[in-house]
Amino acid sequence: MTAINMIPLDAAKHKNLRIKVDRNYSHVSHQNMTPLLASEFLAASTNFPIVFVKQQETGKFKSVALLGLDTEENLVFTNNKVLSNYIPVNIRRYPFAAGAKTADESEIVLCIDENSTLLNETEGVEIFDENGKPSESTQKITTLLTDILAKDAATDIFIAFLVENDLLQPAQVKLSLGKEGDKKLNGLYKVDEEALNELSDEEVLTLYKRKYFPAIYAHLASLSQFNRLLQLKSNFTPQ
Amino acid sequence: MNSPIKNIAIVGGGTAGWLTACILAKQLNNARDITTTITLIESAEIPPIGVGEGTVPTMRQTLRMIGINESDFIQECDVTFKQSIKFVDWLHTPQSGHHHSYHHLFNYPHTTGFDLTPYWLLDKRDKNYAGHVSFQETICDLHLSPKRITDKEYAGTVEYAYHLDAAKFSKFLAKHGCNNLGIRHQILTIEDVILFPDGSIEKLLTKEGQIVSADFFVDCSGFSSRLMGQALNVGFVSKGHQLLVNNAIAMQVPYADQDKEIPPFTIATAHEAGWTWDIGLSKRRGVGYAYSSNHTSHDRAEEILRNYVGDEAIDLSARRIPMEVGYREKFWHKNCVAIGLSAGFVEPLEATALLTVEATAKLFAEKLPTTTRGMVYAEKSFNAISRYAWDKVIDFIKLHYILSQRRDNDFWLDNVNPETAPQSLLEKLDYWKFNLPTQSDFASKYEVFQLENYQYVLYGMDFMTDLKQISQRYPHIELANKEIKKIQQHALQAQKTLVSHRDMINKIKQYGISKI
Repeated sequence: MTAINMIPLDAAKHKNLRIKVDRNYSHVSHQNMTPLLASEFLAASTNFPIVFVKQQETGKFKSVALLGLDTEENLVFTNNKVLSNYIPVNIRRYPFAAGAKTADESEIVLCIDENSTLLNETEGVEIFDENGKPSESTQKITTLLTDILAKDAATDIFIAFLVENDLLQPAQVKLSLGKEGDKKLNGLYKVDEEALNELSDEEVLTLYKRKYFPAIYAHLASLSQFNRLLQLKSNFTPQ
Repeated sequence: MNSPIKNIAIVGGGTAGWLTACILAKQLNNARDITTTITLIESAEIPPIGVGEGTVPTMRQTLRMIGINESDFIQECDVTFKQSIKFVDWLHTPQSGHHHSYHHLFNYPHTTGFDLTPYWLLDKRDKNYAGHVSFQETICDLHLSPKRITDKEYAGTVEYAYHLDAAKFSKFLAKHGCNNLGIRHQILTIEDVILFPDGSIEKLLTKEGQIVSADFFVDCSGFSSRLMGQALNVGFVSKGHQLLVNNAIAMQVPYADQDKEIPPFTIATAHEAGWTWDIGLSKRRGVGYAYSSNHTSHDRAEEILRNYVGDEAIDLSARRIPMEVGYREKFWHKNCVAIGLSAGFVEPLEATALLTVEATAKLFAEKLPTTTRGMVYAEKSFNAISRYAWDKVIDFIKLHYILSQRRDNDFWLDNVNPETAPQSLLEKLDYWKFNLPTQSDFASKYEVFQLENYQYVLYGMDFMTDLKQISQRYPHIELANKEIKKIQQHALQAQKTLVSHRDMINKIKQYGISKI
């Protein structure tokens, strides 16, 4: 697989490009996790485990949907199939991404993965219309990305709240893989149920008013989806 | 007489005073229920000595125990990580640009339970000891951080301690102690100490006209030993005949280049009549020369220091610190205990200053009786343990000198003269000539330097333990080779996952360290 190379969309350079529609999202078939927004927890929770992991570069927590149990293993988006009734927005947005614009944060820079195999000049959805203006679909994606950015910031605030109030703890995940023996997954974190139950009335009210409870319980409920991944894995034949 | 001990007054606002105050507050009280009042009095007139910038890994446990957030500490005290002390030129006088060096690492040599030492001794020595038994040497040499940004606070890939700005550290502890641990802080200068007829301290009279009464007094007043030495007349046992260094000259060196790599270890370099320390903090270096004024002049000492620092020293002033090596005859007398420089001092070769403060303050918190009834026993026991601990520290410091093959100055000649060495050290060295040092040579847990510390210094300095006659006792050569391979793999793995020391400090300042 070629490495992702996100560059700002350029009306001149990219004017004839089209994007093939891939409803199988095969670009993630080698990723074992994808970022998930707190607002997506409810919809995602019946499909895959939602956990918290630390980012390698910053050590800061991010919420992710776990899609595989091994490096580069994706059990959900695999073999040109989608075994989920929910597609996380961070998968849907591809091959686009929002670039950071330092001066004015309310405006995004639309970027595109120049190495994406979805790009071509004959097939699929056009990026710019015949007048060189962003196409309808490009405008939609801009709206989606703007929305993702805002919700991502809200997710960071949600996670920071969990950390500051000692509500996160390392998740001890031990899976039994039959003949292959037991497998321990390291570096995953989850909400500490005991700490959650010991919150004061005042803290409970804060969580309630911030609408954090649905996300928290969706996350906790989603942990039973480890079994689903195991189930998918037992039928899984690597390509 | 049997009255409760509920009020403790600590005299002195340096690192010793504040560290002791925080440890006592945490051990004797809990957040909601302050049963013991701890008051720290500090003079506005007497500045803290402000050196002692090196620590050992126990500092991590201490800081966590007193409830400090590691990121805050790193940001506010210009902290860097320390994984080792690198000893340069201690074995040989440098010749035509060749410098001998070895690491005293914080990771113990046999973390896996298998001691490679005898195999290393019996094998041809193709590599230095530290690099042979631990992968931490590679991390040090590459100036890498001991931890990753994803590691939670106080945890790392390898053992580590800190380099810190002592003045900032005192202020940081003061803020924490007053805001979070209920310590009372008063700016007062002692004018007189009033004793009871039985010789214990009744109260302190201050220049400000205030009276400080307490059930127990802790002397953290530094070299002046205001209570223990001056008021209670407890004598001083000089160890100047064993440890010859009696002066230091120090300077703070700003970085010419703020992006320069910072060594994640202290560099201790031997010179003609002493040694220099070189500690890289995040904003500056702390550099000093500890020397014997009986073997060199103060002017020559300053010259050595300036030569060592180089051009960067040109416009900088140096501060001279006279030092008296030894300890008090008693560390606990009646209702007073001395912690820090007021109790004793040895040259800062192994970061013993803050280390002994931590150890003594914890011991004191443990030993302090709830009422005056237990005082006699507590005093006796505390003094016996403390004296033993100090003697063992002196043994260990002397070890660095007695193994030296330098003969370039009377300083080094006098240092290897057996008459200047403690008998307890000479006995062990004699035994270790044909016998492997083992845990049982360090029977007390109050010895702050244990087997592993000795191993790094002994074998870093070419000490020969001859096992040829008993080589059949060490038949697991294959297992040893496996261990060595494992260590090499760990070293490679660590290089992939660890970033540079400077980058990590910058990252921590930007992102902080997670509590979990």
